[in-house]
Amino acid sequence: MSTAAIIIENVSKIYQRGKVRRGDIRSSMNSWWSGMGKEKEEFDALKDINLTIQQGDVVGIIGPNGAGKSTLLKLLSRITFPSKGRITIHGTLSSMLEVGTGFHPELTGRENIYLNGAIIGMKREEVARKLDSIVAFSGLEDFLDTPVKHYSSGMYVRLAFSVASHLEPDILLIDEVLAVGDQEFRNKCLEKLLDVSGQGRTIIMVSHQMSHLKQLCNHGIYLSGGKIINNGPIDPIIQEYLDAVDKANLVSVAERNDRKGSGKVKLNSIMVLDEHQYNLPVISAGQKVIFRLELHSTELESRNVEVKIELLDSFGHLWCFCKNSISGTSITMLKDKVTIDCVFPKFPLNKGTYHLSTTIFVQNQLSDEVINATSINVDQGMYYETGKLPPAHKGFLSDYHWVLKPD
Amino acid sequence: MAMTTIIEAGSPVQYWRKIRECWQYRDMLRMLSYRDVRVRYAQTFLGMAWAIINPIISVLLLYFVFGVVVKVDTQGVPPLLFSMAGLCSWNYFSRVVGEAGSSVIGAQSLVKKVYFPRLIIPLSKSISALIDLLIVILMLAIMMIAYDIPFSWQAIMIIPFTVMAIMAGIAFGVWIAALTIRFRDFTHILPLILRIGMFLSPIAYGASLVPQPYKWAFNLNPLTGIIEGFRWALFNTPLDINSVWISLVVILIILIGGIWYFLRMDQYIADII
Repeated sequence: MSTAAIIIENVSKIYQRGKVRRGDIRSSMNSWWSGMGKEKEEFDALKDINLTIQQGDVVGIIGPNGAGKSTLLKLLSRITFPSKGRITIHGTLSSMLEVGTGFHPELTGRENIYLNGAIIGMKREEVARKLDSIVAFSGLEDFLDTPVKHYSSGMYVRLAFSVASHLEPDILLIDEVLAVGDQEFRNKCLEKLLDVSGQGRTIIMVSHQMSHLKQLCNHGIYLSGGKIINNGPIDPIIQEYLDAVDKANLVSVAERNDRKGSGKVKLNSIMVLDEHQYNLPVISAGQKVIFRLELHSTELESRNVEVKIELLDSFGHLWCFCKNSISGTSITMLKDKVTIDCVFPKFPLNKGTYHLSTTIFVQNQLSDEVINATSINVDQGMYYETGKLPPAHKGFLSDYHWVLKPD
Repeated sequence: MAMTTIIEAGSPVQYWRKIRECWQYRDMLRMLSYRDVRVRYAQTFLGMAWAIINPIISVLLLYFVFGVVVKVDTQGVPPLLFSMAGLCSWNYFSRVVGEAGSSVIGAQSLVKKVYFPRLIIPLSKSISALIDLLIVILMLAIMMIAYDIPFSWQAIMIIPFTVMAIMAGIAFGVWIAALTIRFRDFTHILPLILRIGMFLSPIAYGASLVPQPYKWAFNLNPLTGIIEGFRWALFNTPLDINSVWISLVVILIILIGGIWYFLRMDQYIADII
């Protein structure tokens, strides 16, 4: 028999854009004089959500950016308050919306364990009791009394994850933090956290990594535009979501007729895939990305085919210019359909939306050009070990490192 | 399961529950205060020395202006000690209010990522600043020995006045913190308020010097009773007990009002900072 861990009834969250409730005194007085609310611009992050999550379920929440996934987690973790409706939570709840919340670089590893533990809701005795286990788990015994500012980013993340992995709530919320840390250590943490799920721990996680969710979750919730589109066993939910993403991206390419060129070889479809060949609705910066292009030829044999992919941001700035003849792969088509992959081992673009345009040349003649064949979304990712990225629109990502020369 | 939490939009704010929750999160309160103290003195080159240098400079300044230039009546107490005794509670108070004011905004990354009773952020400032109070009191004790001023049982009375100073710090700190979240202008207004407060509090002059017609207004300043109380406890200067009671009542009203206002806003904080 299963019992409900969380019951969400008619919950909406409305954010008010504009200057109401925040800002300077003058605008506040102005809006008071002008009868309040006129300048209010409202937007519903979540609309009338009804949901029951059973105890012991491992739930993955999926959906495009801005679907309300994070808002839902924030409501459940009581960081923000619903505008309408009612949420009932049975049991203790902790959230990992970030690793290392409150960590201070000047404090030592040990002090940060106590600080972070207290912040994420552990009692002092609890931290003291688990200290040895936390330290052993992180493998940082020798650095326990070193200020965290001297840690490498990898060590920092390990320590933070180790503390969080020792949480023992009935319900645990996890937001995309799993993208952080080296894969092996991350899996170790997940194992520890999920270990107890058989004994009734409920876990709710948000991730863009479909392969993760498929592996970990038994239940999926598909959110879009602040509404629940569907809710059920994870596999069909992921499929439904990916189909929707496909529909938005894929169909249009073959049918587009605003294209240029002779049309000898044309782009039929383009897909954005992850390392496991799953569709990638959102790319995490630094992950492996495959652009899979299906080309269609009107002739039996096409030699010297050149394919170019360009990635432009919404301001029209060109960020990436990828051409097979530059990177050194020649393409000859001996049949009418060919699939070709453009592989990025470590996707180098910063957070944001990019438009992908393709151009195909045959024998140096323009054959096909599709502007905005598809759009891609890049989100937070592990390009750098810290999981941090430069501010949006501030350059591309590059595999540099810093070296401190000894005195 | 043992615990059930119900979050319901439009439900009235449960003040008592939120205050109880602050007690449940006392470990976090302690760690935040500890962090502040550790970081403040670990980060700067001179570290702890700043906690001593700062009040010394303030005291010398006050001594020069009020003791050397103006030569106010210090009721038989050496002017340097007179200012110092006045300064210790004021210093504490202004530190708490100054830091609490921007504390919630400064802790954005926490507020947006974890749930905890937000009230403990400004509260932690009232604890971490106690170290400054302690340092000035120790300096004062050393000076008293140097000046050969005997300690009496009365000195123990600085404890209740310290408690009053903590309450005053929390009272104003919570108000300013809440107002700063809502109106960023307060980051500019606050230094002004503190400067006005510094001159309108009897730090380097005695409250007895204030002319009768203004006295009632002067007594409304909750620091008046505390500062005069400190000096009475240490040097047995005359103390108008009424001003202490007035201070206490004013502090309690501001404290309860501040906590009420802060808790009323509590649930919107993550949305508006």
